[in-house]
Amino acid sequence: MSAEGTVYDLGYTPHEGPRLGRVGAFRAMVVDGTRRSLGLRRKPWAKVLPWALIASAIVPAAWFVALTFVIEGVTVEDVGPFGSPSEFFEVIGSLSILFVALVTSILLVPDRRYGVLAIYASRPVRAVDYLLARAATIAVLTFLYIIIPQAILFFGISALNVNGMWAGLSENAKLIPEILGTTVAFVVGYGAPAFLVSLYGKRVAMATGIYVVTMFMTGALSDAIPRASQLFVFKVLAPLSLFFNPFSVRDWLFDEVDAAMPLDRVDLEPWIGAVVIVVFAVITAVLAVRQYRKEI
Amino acid sequence: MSPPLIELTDLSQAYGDFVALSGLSGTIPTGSIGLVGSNGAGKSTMIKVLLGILRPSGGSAAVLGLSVTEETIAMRARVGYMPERGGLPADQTAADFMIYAAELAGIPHKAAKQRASDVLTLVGLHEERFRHFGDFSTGMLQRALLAQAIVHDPELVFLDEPLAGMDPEGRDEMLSLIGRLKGFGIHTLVSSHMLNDIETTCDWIVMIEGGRIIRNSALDTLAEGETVQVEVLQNAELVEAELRARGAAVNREGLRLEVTTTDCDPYDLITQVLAETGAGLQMLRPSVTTLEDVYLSEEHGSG
Repeated sequence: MSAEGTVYDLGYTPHEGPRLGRVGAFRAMVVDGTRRSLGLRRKPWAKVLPWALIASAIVPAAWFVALTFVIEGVTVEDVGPFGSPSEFFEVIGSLSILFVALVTSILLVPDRRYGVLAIYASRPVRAVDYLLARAATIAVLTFLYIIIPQAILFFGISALNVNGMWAGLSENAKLIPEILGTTVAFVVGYGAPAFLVSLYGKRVAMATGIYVVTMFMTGALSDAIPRASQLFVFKVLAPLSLFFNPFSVRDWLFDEVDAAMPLDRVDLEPWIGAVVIVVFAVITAVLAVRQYRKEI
Repeated sequence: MSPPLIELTDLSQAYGDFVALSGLSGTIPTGSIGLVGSNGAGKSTMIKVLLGILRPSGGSAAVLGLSVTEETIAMRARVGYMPERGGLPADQTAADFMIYAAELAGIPHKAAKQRASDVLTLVGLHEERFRHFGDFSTGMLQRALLAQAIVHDPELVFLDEPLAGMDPEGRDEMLSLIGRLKGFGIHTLVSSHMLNDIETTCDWIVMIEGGRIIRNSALDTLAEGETVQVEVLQNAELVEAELRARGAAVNREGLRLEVTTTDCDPYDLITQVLAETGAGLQMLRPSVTTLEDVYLSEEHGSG
């Protein structure tokens, strides 16, 4: 055999293997969306914000759980919101607004701004496929963002049970449907408005900022509604609190009463919060499809 | 028999009162197609309709035998598209995006990785594959756009102004790459307002102006009949009359004549007439009809 190598010009090789169609494209879009949201395979600065937010959600919960194992005599009552899944939604819910704002704008705005939608238009992908894949990515990531710290706490609270961890786990298991349902309410309740803003935002920072300000504004305005008000205008305004509606759903599912909730202040049932969340999500979906049909 | 590349039947597209495409009809065969027209002539709109992005206001179109409105997904699985602007996310590496672009067309991940590597080598970006698009020059971005258009092995690629914004060296490289696609069995439809570029890469020409097709023919039939330029020393009017009397088409400017014949050799005819009229010969040469000549004459005719 000659010691010298031989260079072969392989030219162009056609693809003769299988093609996975729209299912393959959908999977690719979800994987790509996840990477982009978390800054994976991107420059270092792209990782800073998402991972800082993830750390801010997980580290306190993990720290609390670690303490329960280190310090003797710690009870559930000693640890404030960390002692109750329902109360912990007040911590993780507010943080999830920031997370969903960032992820949604990163997923939707650059594709439009940099003309990447033209590439999707030359693939076996419809506008609905693209939007569903993006929505699924946002939903899964936000769901995990909320549920992982909740799971960590779930095990931590169970470990504090006087009869042992297994007894605690079986005792707290009845809360799992409420935790999952409330998490879904936060995912949809905060995700849909973020999606709507990102449909029209021209820059990531702008879309993120507008969404966060709007959410906290609706919270602040609703907070100004007088308690026990019977005025019609307040009965209309209260359900429009995008910030508080997931909390109303939480109260409904956990069968709790929080007099600070806008719906409670105007004597409306907390399940109305769930209805408003669904209506908002449907409106967002219709607007999204109308907008993206012109591009893909 | 394989279907034609593109079939248009009274295709129209309007944005409100503005008519971008007006009653386009015709059959475009497989091969390298040049879509020529001035800016705003309707080229990009036509490509968007053919990709199924825009729904035509009237008429119908089929690409590779598939209706662009009824079989959009099946059609898109077999085509690629290089947009005029944008298309590449600044925060992604060339390798990652090519893999993604292939997977979007349903290519399995392992094969997508291989194809991404192959096409980046093909367009000369293999060394740059781990760089982000945000760090690419205009020429590199154009080559990357071409790579994503073929990474999923399409049968037809739409190239919308592929040479826009490139320097002369980059244009030559891109033209060479586009020319090679034919050898890979990939048909191309190249939209451009630069007629020279089309002449060097295409074998079929579709001219569009004001939303109408003004010519749809093979490039080598642009000059019908054989045309010869002749310059005489005197008696130009007499020579013209004699040539016309013998069935030739003649354009005369002073002592210079352009003679076209369809049923005989123009050189024989001219030699004979010059001998009979006693007009001295100053110059005799074949007349070259460029795409630009045809475009200008067609545009003038349609206006």
